[in-house]
Amino acid sequence: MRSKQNITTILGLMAVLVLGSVAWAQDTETLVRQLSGKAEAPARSGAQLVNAYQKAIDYLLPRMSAEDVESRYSYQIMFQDLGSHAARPGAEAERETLAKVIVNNLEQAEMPATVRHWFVLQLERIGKGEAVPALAKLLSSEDRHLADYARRALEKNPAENATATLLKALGTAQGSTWKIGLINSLGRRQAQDAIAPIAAALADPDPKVGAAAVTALAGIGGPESGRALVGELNKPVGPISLKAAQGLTDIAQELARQSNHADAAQIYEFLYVGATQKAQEDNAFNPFSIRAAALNGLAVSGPDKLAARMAEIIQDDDPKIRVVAVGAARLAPTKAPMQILCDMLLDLEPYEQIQVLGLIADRGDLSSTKYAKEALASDDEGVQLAAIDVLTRVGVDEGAELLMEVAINGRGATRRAAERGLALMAGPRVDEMITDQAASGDAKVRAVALGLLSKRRVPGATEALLGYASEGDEAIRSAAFDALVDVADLVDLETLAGLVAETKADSVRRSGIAALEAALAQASNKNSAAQIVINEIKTADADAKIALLSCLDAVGGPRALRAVVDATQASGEALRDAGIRTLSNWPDFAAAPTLLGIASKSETSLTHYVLALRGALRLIGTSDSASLDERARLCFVAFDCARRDDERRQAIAVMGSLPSPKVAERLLSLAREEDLKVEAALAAVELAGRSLRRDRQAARELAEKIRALNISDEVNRRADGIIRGRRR
Amino acid sequence: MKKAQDLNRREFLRRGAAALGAVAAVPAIVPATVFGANAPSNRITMGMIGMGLMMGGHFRSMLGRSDVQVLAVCDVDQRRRESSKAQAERAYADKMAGGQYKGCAAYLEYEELCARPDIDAVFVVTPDHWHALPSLAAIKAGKDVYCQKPMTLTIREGRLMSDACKQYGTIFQVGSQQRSEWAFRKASEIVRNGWIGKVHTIYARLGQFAPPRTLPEQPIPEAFDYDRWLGPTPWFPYNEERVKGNYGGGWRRFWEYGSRKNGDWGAHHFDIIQWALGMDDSGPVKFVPKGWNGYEYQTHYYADGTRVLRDHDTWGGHMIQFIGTDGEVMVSRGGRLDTDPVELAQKPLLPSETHLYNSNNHEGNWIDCIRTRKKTICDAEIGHRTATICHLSGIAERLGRPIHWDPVEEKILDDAAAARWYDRPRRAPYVL
Repeated sequence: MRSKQNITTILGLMAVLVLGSVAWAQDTETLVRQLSGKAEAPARSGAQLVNAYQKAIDYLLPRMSAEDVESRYSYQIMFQDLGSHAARPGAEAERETLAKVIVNNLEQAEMPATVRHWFVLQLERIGKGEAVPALAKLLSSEDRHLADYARRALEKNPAENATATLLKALGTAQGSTWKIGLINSLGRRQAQDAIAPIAAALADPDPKVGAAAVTALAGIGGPESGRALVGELNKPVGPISLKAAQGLTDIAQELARQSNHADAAQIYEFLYVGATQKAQEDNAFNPFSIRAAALNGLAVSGPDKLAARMAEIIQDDDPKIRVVAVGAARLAPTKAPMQILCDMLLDLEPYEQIQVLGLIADRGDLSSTKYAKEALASDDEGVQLAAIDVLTRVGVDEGAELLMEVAINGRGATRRAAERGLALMAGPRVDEMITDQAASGDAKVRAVALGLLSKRRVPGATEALLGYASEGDEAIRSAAFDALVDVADLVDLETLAGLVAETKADSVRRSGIAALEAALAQASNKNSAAQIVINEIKTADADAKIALLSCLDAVGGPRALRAVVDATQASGEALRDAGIRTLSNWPDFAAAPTLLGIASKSETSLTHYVLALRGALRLIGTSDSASLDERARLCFVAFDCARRDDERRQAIAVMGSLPSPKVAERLLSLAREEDLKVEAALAAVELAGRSLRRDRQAARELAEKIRALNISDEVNRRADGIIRGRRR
Repeated sequence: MKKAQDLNRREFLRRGAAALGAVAAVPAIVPATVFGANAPSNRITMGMIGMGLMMGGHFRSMLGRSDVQVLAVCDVDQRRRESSKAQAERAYADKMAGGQYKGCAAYLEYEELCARPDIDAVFVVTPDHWHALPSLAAIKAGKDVYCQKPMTLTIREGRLMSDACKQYGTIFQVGSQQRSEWAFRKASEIVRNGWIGKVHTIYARLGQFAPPRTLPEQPIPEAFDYDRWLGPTPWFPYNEERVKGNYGGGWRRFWEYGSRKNGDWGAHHFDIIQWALGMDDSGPVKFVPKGWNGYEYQTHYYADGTRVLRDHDTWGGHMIQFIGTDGEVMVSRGGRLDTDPVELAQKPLLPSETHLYNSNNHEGNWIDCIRTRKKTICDAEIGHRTATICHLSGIAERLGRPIHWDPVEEKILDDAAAARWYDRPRRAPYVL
């Protein structure tokens, strides 16, 4: 009895403990939420805040250290969120309190190494002066990962004593990796006090340490750092010479950023002269990148100095430096360096001329037309094209006239480039010039101008082109129709259709038909557009009737379809032929039944049968407006009325794109027959692949059935893929 | 002045550019044949850094070009770099009469690759935390660089890289290749030319990664230099999941190596938004994390009030949707472009309107620009400004509060703790 009572008491106590523990956890989670800004927090005194943070860490630390490593993540993030919230603007007391609590725990609590790293990482993000002593101790930790975490935390710490701590560590540092880390941190802190010890590290036997020292000195900047780096350059070429020169370019770039261009230019000139001299003295040492950086820097900070050297640089023996010269002129705030290059343009190699012309085009200098004009006369096509680009992009009237000349009398790539340029260029009187030239004069000139009127969408172009399309000169009419294609969305359909209807010459009519088709394709009201053409057909002569009818597939829709279907039944052979051909190109599914009707008639000629059946199969295979069942039904009709295996194969291929059980059944049945079994099996596998995502089970079953027929290796391989769940 | 050494190889610039006048007029892909004879001395010599998942396409493409010669590959995984070397040598051997070729080196350390004076240009296709260091080394060695997106891991890295490109005259392309897709250019031109009025709201669908993880330590595979894989990032124990390069997770899930989806897809979509708004040399001014003060979507604001909402539903499931006072533009990969009004999608640009940089092949644009020395379609400054948006969005998310940004001075304003994230300290011995 007593023992039963004891057990009850113990169980009761355990329940209280468990419940209490759950309640504590819930309370603490709420506390953590409060401390990370995710729940409303009560006002807390300093001491209460310390207790609250400690309580939160007491809750998080064991969970961040759990055996189940993957479970640690969310607690790590809760801990990080405490820091992010405490370090928000205007909450300095909270930040400082939390940082002190973290330091305290780092020094006193047991935790796995990776959790300790995480603690230090939080100090990197929120720590200030209060964290420095603890981080200083960690610099000598045996866990070198931890020591490096501490170094990085000090690097980010805004307190002044963090610099002193890092400097002290550098004084006793052993090993290249550690020295590099400390030098880098001091450099990032731009610690003036560190310049001397870092400069001393330039002579470290490990060039990687010397290189880190260069980077740090360049980051700190100033005359003292600069002198240390110049000192390196005054020595014989060594493993960090190049790095020291790079460091100086960084210092010069910073000076330029601060608008101290005089000092920056002095450094760049020093570097350019020095690097050029070194390159002359030592064939094995070609500090190309330093010469390039110096020239680019000089362009920005001392463009006149660059201009003074430009004639010499553009004739440098190193072709890469000649390329840099052009690039540098691009960066210069003044025209002087570019002007030197322009004046020397015709003396340069064609590839240099192209680059200089590219520079002119990019800078868009209005006075540069004369150079482009000179370059247009070059024998080198590349140079001519670059000159055309200049004229296009600079966009002056004189340039437009020059381009027009090339567009009319030029050949090949240059003629096409000139036309493209004229279509795009933005000169003030270009539209006017083109409009004038389109209006009258030599037919060749007018034809080019007509094309440009539409490409540039000159105001009033559409009406003007419709006018020119009614002129007597066939070349002009053709050119006008060709041009109308580019403004098809704006054209008056009635006028255009009328013009096409009254055109007699075949070549001109072809151009007119192209324009009409383009306009019909853009029509928003298909039936109205079709009606306009149908009205013209009614009164047109025989040839025009056929031509106009053939346009109707560009618009589609019920009214046009009716007209074309009527034509397929016309008594006149030519009109009937045009009707069937147009119908076979029809854009929507509605034509499919009529096409199948034509194909299934035994009296239909072979040509018309092929056109009709293939047209129908195209629509069945690609339409998304008809139901799957209807498409499948018509596909079976197509297969059944096919006269030849070619069309049967085509119908089978279309079946493979129609994922329906009926089609699957039909393909399986065909796969069991001898004649077309391979085609049917491949189509069935294709069908199974298409069904895989929608109905995996059915797809696999179909593939298994095909596999069981063992038709060919290829079929089996594909079926196996589907069975394993791969679409292909 | 001494005679320049190695003139034959360097002549590629001369001969290549001379044959390339067409590019000046049409800044689109230029067939290799335009460059003239692709003799070895005319080819652009290439080094490939980071031979993982993303490099596959670039590598095959470069091996297939007759105007490019891959001279070296570099990776921290010995098996990967050796197989890449073998792949390159096989590809070149197949093209040679003798069927033998042994001219591709394999390096563990990119420094060695960048030190080779015979390499003209490099691809940097590493995880994000390894973009800046090799890129800067290559830039400072006078090489041209194609760097995968997002360009950087921190904002400071981007500023340094962009400045270095200007300093050294580098032709630099960031792999935000949507700029070289027609539909994104057209969408940007529609916005830029005001065809949908004043744009006030933009949706960008980036998707989500699963949360980062703490992972148990596993033994490091023998051929894998894990310490170097970690590079400048803090030390964590090795686990295969941490270093994996799959699109759905792997290292992309971890903040240590990237900016998660903000970096992964933001580097594409935020980039197009910057382009469309004409902000390539600037950026937004405020970043608000999802969940802050009732915000349903991560949002950033431009100075004129235009806001960009991440992962808001879009019309037709499009990747980006621009909403203006007079219409909308929706755009996605695969040439999908929808507009309201519908006719805008096909409306041609007038000569007087803004025509944006036209490239139809991102890699090809870089190669062309190496020859012509013109700017690429997505140069370092553009890539830096886009990456900055990715990073600031991520910083706001981790801090759980809005960040105010000055895009002129490039400073995080009025929040000292947030400002510490401008850059991350680097593990020794890695120095930027």
